[in-house]
Amino acid sequence: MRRGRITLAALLCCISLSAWAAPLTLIMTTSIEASGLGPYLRAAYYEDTGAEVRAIITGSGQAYAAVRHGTIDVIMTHEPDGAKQLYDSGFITRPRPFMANHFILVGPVDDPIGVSKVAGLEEGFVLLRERQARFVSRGDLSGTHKREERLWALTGMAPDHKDYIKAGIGMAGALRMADQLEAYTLTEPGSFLTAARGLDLAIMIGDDQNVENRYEISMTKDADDRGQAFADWLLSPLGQSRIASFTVDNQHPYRPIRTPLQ
Amino acid sequence: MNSFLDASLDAFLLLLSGDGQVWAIVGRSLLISLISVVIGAMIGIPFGTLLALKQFRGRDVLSTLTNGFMGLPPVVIGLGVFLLLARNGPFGVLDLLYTKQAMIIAQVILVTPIIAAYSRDVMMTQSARFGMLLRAYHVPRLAGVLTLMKEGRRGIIGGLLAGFGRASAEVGAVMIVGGNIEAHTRVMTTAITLETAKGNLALALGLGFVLIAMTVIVSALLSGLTRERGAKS
Repeated sequence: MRRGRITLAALLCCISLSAWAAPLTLIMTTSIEASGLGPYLRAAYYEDTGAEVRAIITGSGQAYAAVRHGTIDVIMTHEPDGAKQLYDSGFITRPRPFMANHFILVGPVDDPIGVSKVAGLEEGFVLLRERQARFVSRGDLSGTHKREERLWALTGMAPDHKDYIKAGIGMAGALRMADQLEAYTLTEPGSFLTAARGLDLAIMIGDDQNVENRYEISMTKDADDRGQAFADWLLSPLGQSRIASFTVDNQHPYRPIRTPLQ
Repeated sequence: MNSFLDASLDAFLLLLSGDGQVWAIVGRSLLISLISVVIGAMIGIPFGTLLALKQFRGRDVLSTLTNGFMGLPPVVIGLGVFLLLARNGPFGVLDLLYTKQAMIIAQVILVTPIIAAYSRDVMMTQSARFGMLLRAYHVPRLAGVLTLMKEGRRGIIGGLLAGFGRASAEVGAVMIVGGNIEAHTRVMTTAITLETAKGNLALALGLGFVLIAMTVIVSALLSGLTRERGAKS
């Protein structure tokens, strides 16, 4: 009798859980969330359409794994190689870029190796290696880490000097570590503007337009119309104008890729 | 389901291949957690004993606090230790941030209340059992306390094991104060977190199995130790 009741209760729980319509599940990289753009876009989407979005925040590597395990509707990342792999193996629709900025090199305010006088990131990385500067690497296969590895590859030198710190942490943690250890690190303006409050770090190379950081959106094969609706909104003039008007400390860390509403 | 099997296989292969890096991480985890437990024991056992055997003002408050601190969130301890050791913090001159020492400091804070609470409860029980007897035979105070400890060693070691389990399993504190730096401050839990972040879920789970095995072996060794001594006396 008692067991019967427990079974019944468990059954009812399962039924009510499955009946509880899950909102659209979006997975986005930590940098978008940390800069405040994630919450801002969700609020804007709710305002514009009345639809709610549930966001899961992880680095690109973990985001791709989550997609492979089939728990996600929409994915927003900035690591094109991994996204292309997922697309090629049929897990997601073709990634569409929706906004961009560029990678920046930040470091101690007094800039011990004078890297801020260098023109671009590639030259900057050559100098970092030649002067054996202290550098914090994310080491987590995130979009930022992958870009860092590409930059080292361009210099033709492996970052194997003593002060090259192979951490395994998120962007905020890496910025904190660079601040504490007076080291350089690669980041993007959104994360930096947000995390830099209270840190003794400054932008060393901030305007290398060659090293673009593109954010892409795709739907997974599990996504229904709501995922498509969100992506359409984000790429529409309305969504693009929302991105354009997002600010951190009165600066615009991201620029929309299409022409926004004026 | 498949990934679960993959993980088991990965863990097995990792151990067989004798991957130097994995063993180094296991060793670092063991070292940091064991040192933390030893230091925690040096503070926690005397403190717990004091709480159990001595009447003094504020004892109840301290005892309640000890119970409460058993559940301190590691990430909060991590943040606190980070701020203390940060360059512009009160102990910034020591230059300890992102070192094993910093991780040990955080874990000592984590395990000491657990060890103290276990010791206190054990000593209270033992004192209730043998206190009268010891007083009746005029056993000197220190010798009496040591006798009680010897009688209650299994409970005290239980506290050490609980502390070790908590220290070796937590990730929040060591991630913040250690920074998960390869070959320096990367331990089992931060390595698992990192592999998860990289999307290597099977490898992450495999490392998890290694961590569990490590904890089980340490527990078996420590409890085996007590049993043997118990048989002799």
